[in-house]
Amino acid sequence: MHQETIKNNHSDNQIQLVSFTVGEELFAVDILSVQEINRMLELTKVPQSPDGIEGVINLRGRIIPVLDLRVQFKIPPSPHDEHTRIIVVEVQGNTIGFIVDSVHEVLRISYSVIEPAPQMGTSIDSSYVSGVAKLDENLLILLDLERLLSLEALDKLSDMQRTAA
Amino acid sequence: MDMNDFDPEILQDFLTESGELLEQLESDLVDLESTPQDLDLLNQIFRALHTIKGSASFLALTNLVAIAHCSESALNTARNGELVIGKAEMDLLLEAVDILKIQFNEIASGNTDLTPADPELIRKLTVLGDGGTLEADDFQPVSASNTAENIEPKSAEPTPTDGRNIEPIKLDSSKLDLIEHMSTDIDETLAQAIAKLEELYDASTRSSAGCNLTEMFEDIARTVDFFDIKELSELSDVLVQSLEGIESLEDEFIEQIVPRLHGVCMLINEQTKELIHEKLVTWPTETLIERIIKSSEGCKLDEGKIIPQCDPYQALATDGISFGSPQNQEEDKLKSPIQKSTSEPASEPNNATITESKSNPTNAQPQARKANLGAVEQTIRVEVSRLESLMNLVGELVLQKNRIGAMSEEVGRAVTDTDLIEQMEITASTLDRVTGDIQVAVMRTRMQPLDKLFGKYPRLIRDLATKTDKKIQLEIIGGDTEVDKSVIEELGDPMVHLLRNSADHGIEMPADRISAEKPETGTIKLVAGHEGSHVSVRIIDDGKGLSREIIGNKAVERGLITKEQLPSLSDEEVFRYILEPGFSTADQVSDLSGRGVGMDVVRTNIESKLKGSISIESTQGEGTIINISIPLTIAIMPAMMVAVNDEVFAIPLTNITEIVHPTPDMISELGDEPVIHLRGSVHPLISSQEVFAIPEEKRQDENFVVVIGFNQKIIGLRVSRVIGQQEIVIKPLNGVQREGPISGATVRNDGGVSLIMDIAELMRISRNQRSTVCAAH
Repeated sequence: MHQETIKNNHSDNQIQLVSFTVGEELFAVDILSVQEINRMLELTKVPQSPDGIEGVINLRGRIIPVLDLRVQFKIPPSPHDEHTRIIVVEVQGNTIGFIVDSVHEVLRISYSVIEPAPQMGTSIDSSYVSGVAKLDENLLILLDLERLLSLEALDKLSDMQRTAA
Repeated sequence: MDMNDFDPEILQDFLTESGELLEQLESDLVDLESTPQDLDLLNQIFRALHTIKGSASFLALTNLVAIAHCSESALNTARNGELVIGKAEMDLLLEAVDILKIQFNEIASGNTDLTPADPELIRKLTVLGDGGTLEADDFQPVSASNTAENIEPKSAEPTPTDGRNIEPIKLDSSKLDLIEHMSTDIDETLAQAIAKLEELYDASTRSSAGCNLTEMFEDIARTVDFFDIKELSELSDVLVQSLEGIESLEDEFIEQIVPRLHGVCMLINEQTKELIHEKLVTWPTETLIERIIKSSEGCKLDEGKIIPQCDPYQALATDGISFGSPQNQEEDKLKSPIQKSTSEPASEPNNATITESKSNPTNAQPQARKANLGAVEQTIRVEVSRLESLMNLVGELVLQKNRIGAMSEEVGRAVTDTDLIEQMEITASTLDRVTGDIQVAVMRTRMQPLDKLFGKYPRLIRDLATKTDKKIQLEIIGGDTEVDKSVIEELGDPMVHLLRNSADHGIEMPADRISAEKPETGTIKLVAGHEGSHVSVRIIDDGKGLSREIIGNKAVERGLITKEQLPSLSDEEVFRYILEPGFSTADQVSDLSGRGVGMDVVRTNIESKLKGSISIESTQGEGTIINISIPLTIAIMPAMMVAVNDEVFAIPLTNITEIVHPTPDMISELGDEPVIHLRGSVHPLISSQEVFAIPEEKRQDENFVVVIGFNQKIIGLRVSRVIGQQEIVIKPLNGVQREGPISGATVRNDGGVSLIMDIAELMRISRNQRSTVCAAH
């Protein structure tokens, strides 16, 4: 059944994505890795956790860590508002949530319009980017969740910030 | 036959059941070594091995059956009093058990091609099984790898005169291997059954004998089914069938049935013997079968009625089967006629104990049987995962109950209808009680006796004693103490390390013990018991004890403490350094211990995973006591919710001795270190905001001190506010936090998440603070 879903979602060389904004940029992740999208929930901070981790939330009895992509992408923090969402994804068997400024839309694009990640002039580490796609006026940045949300990535982040401090 | 033909469920059942038997078997064997005359124990071991072999042969696990079979034969000679199991014999048997374990693991990992046992081991065990001795064994010609030849008929050529029909059949080679083993089994069971048949004559022993016989015959039928030969199965089925309702039959029918059953037993015996030679023997058995069934249904036989108590040959002859005669087959004990005698039950062959204990008062047995049947139905096997999910659900239930409780208080404040409030409160408190009961009930389903763990240790100690050339005895007290399954799992490794340490470092060499005026044999005691909501497990050895000097010096050497600080530590504090990772006082690393890894596992598992505590007492020259105390369950526990700055944390209630609102004069500084004075004693004081690294500018006043006791040490923890008590369900905190005094998270009454403080870690932080302060001076 799962196989079929994949086929349906990715038929005709198309991929279905969820797009969202963090700061000025438009990002997207594969819809298949997204479990749910929630409004902002009460966060519990965890002392001495890697810096990218904002805290933990109670997701119907399960406790899952939540990251702030702004920290990851070195975008200056902004207060949460009514558009702020937590996207809950499953990566390598771990359920993790990440905070985005707003969720944009669910869209289908053809693989052929996806180009490899260029060296970007932005603050985003290009190793987290699996590709870019040009949509009308906007540039859609496809994120590699496995790399982005791995503990190694978080460690790297912590180390960088420690050195900076 | 390929094992993959079998339903994985059947295989799983085999692994579970036989696995348990194997564990029991191992500890029983070690027990047996010290009491080789204990016939009950010997029988118990024999039965366990026999059952394993039986199930394995059904699954065509040839290599497993081979090793089980020869061990069983060796045990059988011991059971018949022809062999005393000494150390050498026990070594062989334990070696066989090790091979069985390896094979079990292979089956568990889906490997159908099992490692065969060392042929030399099989040969030696077979020699024992044949009544030989190990010393003499070298001079004997190497026999074939099994005892099948024992039961091969001396005259392989059948007499063609008895109306039998012989035709060659083709047996699968794996089946052929097995038949050699199994025909011995069938042979033995049949011999017992025939002995038991006579008890059917007596109305007072009839129902119990019927019960025993049914078991034996079912055993035979199961074995026989494996070969899938119609003629053979037919006969064995008749045996089982004929016994249904035997206890209510009149004597006259019994007299018709018993000699015929005896005859059938002989026929089956003959058939299995010939199967080894890939020959199928058949007789015209229709009349025989028909008459047995008829009689057993209580119908009178008109034709072919036989005289009472005739011998089986005559009975068979009446039904048209001429099956030799007793005269020329005298050497075969199977064929001796049954005599309806008043012989004492004790005169039965003593191997009748295989399936049932020997003699019983006649009237007690039917009742015993009923009780037995009842007991069987009172337990069911449940997959652990189902219990786990049940436990998780109960956890959720507890959380929701907590929320309802909290909400009912709020509703009470908001609503003015006092009746409604009262109803609400009553319901909430009933829910509270019922949930509590469910929680206890579910927890109890997960409880297992510590014996499950302790049962493995006699073997461990035995092996350790052999390797180190020491004499060690292990005493286990309180093995029936029940603890949560997860506790059993986490406790396994630490216990092995602690026992190894006691045996390797604790107990001295026999010569040293004698010169120290101690008994030559060292004793390690394992004492378990309940202490309130905790379970305590103590490992007590009478060895040389821990040396404060050596451990202290090593700790200084490793920089764990300065030389100046050392004298201020209590003995126990010094001893606790042995739990540090990589800490070892052993001069040489042996394959038993000395790398200093083990004790670290002890501490991690017991303190961090099980939320337990370890204390060490030791007197040099007299021995060491390691006391482990662990909570009964670690999934749900009561906790005190406290605020640290703006966040709410949970502190396990079992570790809290009191909570105080200190007056300024209670808090002072000793050196630079803050302390709290409590009724005359002084304890270190730490600030939770400091521990959790709350930035200086955000810090709030900390008006409360939670006094925490752990491992006989007490510290004060300053917190901002105290919120209240709550049952918490511990949830893992995956991938978020890898350091700091946090052991998990839980969901609060209001739905928010709270972190649970790790008491062991807090204690360590307090100690480190003290060390740095001391070091600074």
